[in-house]
Amino acid sequence: MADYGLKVWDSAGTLILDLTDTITRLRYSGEVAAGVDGSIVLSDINGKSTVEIGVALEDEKLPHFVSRSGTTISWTAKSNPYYDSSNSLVLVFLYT
Amino acid sequence: MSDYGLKIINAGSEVQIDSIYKNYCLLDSGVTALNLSDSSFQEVDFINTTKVPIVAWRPNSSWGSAYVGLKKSGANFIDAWFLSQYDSGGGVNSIAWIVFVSGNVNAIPSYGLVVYNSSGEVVFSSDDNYMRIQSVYTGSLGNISVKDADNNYFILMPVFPMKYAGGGIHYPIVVFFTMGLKKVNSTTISVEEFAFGGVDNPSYITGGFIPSTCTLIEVNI
Repeated sequence: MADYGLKVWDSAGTLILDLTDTITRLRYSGEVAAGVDGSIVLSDINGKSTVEIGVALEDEKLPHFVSRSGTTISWTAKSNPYYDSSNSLVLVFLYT
Repeated sequence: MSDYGLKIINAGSEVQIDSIYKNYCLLDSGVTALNLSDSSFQEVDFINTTKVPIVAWRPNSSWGSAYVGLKKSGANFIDAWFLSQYDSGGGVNSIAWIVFVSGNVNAIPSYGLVVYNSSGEVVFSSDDNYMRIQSVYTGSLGNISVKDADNNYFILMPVFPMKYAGGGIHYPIVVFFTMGLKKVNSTTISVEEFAFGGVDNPSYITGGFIPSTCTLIEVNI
């Protein structure tokens, strides 16, 4: 198959995007409250590969666990006797 | 409204750029010496940003490390938090880290390629360096083959799962564990549990959860 796509060089002549590169696009981000579970449907991610991340926004606390089922992104608060639930940043990015 | 504008497909039929979603580009990178005898979240400063960051890191071959959170000040993200494998004898756990943000960082060039979305926001600019995915692994914890553990960076999910378990008669009585990374060799990264702290007067002995599977994403620019 012949290659197609786009090659991009920066002003220094460095190739910053090649035909075979997989780069990422931010699909969703939001801050969710400590101790609160939730979900969102992102219908346009159907058939696409995503990465879902929950990141703590508070010191010494546990972030939400983020998962995907079909086109639904869910976040579940985590805590234990030593670490409270944190406000979290939920990120979903596309890489296909 | 139907989409309009530009869509770039790579040779693998994957979308690289479109006119809707912002690509992730380099904001900052560096090397930090984590403190082995510090069981708390350790701050790694990066260039302040209001844009949503993705943090990746490269572990060393001696000690485990894990990215666990982001510190904010107002609307700005200002630090990444890391945990180090604990060693009461002290010393350093050196990691390389990199931070990406969506859209663009550098000034819009006078020539090249700049792609905007319908809101007039930059989704791609040829004067920025974009995060390239080198490999994606989903499976059990353990040794994972990668392309270049000496130069690439890694995103591990889930972030900061944690469990605690009794350590017996030795201090600490209850040990805290999380899931992190350690370099094995130039083409292998280990995803493993490591101890990062504990308590000596516990109210609870065993609990928490670290999954048996993970996702490891290898990236570079």
